Order: sequence, then C-alpha cells, then structure tokens
Amino acid sequence: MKLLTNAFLTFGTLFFAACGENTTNTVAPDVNAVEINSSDIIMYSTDGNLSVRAFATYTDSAREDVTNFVDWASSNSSVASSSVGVISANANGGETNVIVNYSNFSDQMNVKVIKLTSINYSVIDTNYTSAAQDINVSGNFENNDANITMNDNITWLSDGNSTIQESDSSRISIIIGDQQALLYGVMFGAVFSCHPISKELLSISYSDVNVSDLENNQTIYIYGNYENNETNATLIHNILWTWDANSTIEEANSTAIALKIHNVPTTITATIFPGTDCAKDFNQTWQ
Amino acid sequence: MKKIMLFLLLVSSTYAESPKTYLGASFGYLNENFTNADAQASMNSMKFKAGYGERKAYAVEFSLDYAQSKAKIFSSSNNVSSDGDRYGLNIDIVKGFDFDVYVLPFVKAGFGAGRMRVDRELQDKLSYGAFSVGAGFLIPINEHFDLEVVCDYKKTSYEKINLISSQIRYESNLNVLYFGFNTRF
Repeated sequence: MKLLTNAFLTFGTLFFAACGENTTNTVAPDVNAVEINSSDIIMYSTDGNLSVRAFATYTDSAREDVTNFVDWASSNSSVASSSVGVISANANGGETNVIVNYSNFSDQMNVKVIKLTSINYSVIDTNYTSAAQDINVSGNFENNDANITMNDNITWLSDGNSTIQESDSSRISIIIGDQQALLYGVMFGAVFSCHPISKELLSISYSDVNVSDLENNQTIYIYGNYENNETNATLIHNILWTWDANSTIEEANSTAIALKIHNVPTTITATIFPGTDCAKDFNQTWQ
Repeated sequence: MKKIMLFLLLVSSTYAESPKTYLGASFGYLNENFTNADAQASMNSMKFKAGYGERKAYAVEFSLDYAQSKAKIFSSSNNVSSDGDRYGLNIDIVKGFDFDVYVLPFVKAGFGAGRMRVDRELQDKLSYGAFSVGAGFLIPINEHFDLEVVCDYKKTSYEKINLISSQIRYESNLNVLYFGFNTRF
C-alpha cells in the first residue's frame, strides 16, 4: 500500500510539474477566403464551355483547389450557367455573374456573352447535286469581331430540299437537291438564321400581258432568272403570290398564273421562302 | 469543525446501512498534449458525478465534466484569446480494493464524449470522444462520506476540422488530477 501511495504522489508531482503551458497561437489552420482564379471573362455565344477554378486560401498561407467542393451559381442562368467551374453560354448575348459559395465565403466574376449577329457561309457549287459538299461557316459578333470560328451552341437543319450528312458548329456536309433549299442555323432552341444554299433567284420574267383586257383571266407564263446567267428557267421555288386591289390572281402554279386585271396600274408580288428570314419579294407592275 | 462533524453524523444516521448510490463533485487540473500537433493546453476542470456500487468492490459512474480552455489551438478568430468551454459526459467502471489501510485504492476505465466551443470560420464547436483509464484512492470519513483523489488518463480524438477540400483530425493525450468529495446513501 505504501508503494501505491508513493507511486501516486510521485505521479501527481510529475503531472503538476509538467502543467501550466498553453499554446496561444492557433495550431489548426483555418480558411481565409474562397476565390475564383479568373477575372471577369468575355465569351462568344458560340464558344464551348469555359473552365474556371475556385481556390481556398488558409491562415498558414496554403492554397487548395476547392472547385469540386463549393457551390456554383449564376445570377442569370438564362444567359450563362456554371456548374463545378464549367461556364456555358445559354443565350445569344447577355451578362451574368458567376458566384461561388461555401458557408460564409463567397466570390464572383462577371461573364459577358457576346452576341452573334450574322454568319458567313463558304460558297458551294449549286449545280453539283450528286454528292456532299462542305460549307464552312464562321460568325460575326456584336463587338465587330468577324470571321470567328464557332465551336458550340449552333446546330444545322435543312428544309427537306437538301440533306445534311454531318455537321458541327463550324462545318456542314450537305447534299443539295434540284429545288431551292434552305439551311437553318439553330441556337439555343430557336432559328437564328436561314441561308439559301442552291442557286440564287435574281428576278422573275413574265410573258406578255394585255393591260387593256380588263376583267378577263389571262394566262401569264413565269420564268426564273438565276445566277450564272441562267435566264428564263423554270422556277424552282415555291412562291406565295399577293396582289393589289386592281387585279386578282385566280390560279397559280410553278409555270404560270391566271391573272384578272381590274384596272391599271396594278402590282403583284412573288415571295420566295415565305415566312422565313430568307423571304424575298419580287414585284411586278403593269401600267 | 464541530458543526461539520455534527452535520456528517446527522446525515449518516439518515441512511441505515450498505449505501451504494453516491454523488460526487471534484475539482481538478488537466494537462493536454496533442499527438499530431505541437500544442499543449492546461486548465482547471470540474466534475459532477453519480455512481452506484461499493467502495471496496465494483461501481459504475456517470460524470459530467467542464473546463474552460486557456489555450488557443483551434480558434482562428482574432476576437478570442482562447478556445471556449468544453463539456464532457463520461461513463466509467470502478474497481475498489481494501488493503486494510486507511485509504481505499481503486482503478477505473471508461469512455466519454464531449464538445468544445471554438471560433473558426466554418465551425463553432468541435466534438470529441475519449477512452480513459484512471487510478486513485478514497479516504473514507464515515460510511456516507469520503474524499477522493484520482488521476485520469484520456486518449482524446477530436472531430475533424473542416478545410473545405480536406479535413484534419487532431488527437491528444490528456491527464487530469482530481480532488473530490462523495456522499453515499
């Protein structure tokens, strides 16, 4: 028992001798800040995804990549969204802030999406219909940047008078048909532009009209004048006919119209690609 | 002194024989050394306990301890000079011995869990778990009262601290020397 008591007292003495010191400088590192590793960015609406990273800085001066651990958000996700550091344009133009959050820490950056204003199409042989041809496309943007390669966010559709074999944002491999065809560029779920890809119609010719023959149907033959000096050719377009109060088109097909003149002067209008951005009017007036 | 003795005799007479339930309070000093960091903490500690068992045989003890940290190991805020209060709840099995001397030595073993207030960017408290062993002796005053001296060793493991992309767990060896008073009924 004496041994036990002595051992206990010895241990207690040693314990107290060792006591009294307290660490006063924090040993465990802590987070100082969470930051995005990029300043504000500007991207074309046809750019692919852009990647940024988020870093945490610590009280011991260390720095760690925390991209996968923080919450990513966009103040206007209809313009651009962000997910785990990947920023994607969702609209043709606009501005938003990409925000990272983790507990009380936050950082943000501005993202500007530059609007695509028009598309440049390379020229193809409109008489060559037996195999696919490549159309190379590039974009012109609202900040006056021109001929910019488009990487993403635009897809291509044809109107049925041609066949797209394969495509990406900067190239379309297409077989054109005999009929005038349209190529549609689709961005973010809406048609951005249409582009006629067969030979271009320059004007329409009409057979003779007797302007003094009023209130009787006259058959008037129509012809197309196309690029490459192809004149008086059979029209390959579907045409919407409209007229003024001084005449009436009673009937129409691809080669002729039945016109009844009530009075002169009178004007009729032929519209190709009606209802599309490629719509084009050809007016004809008889005095 | 006479009044105290009279009070103890009065209380003793209330409980006839074989008291097994006891309550106690202790005051102590703890010294903590971290195993995976160059850090040390020393502070006063208080403990309140309730137990069931005999002095000279086995007993089970539940205790609640409290300490106010004087060290700044986890807290990073400049607004505080030390980590905060720490509370723990423990359960121990005690084995007492009778060597037919004036004191009754005992050994004990158990485990516990607790929580310490900290002032960090991502955490305001850290939980911890501990396994403990201890030894000490009782100095019986009478059948119902005794004084206690005990030395505990605790192996403590703290909740991981959050650094967003990683986490660090700190562990420590903790020694506590308690002086206490128990009443049995």
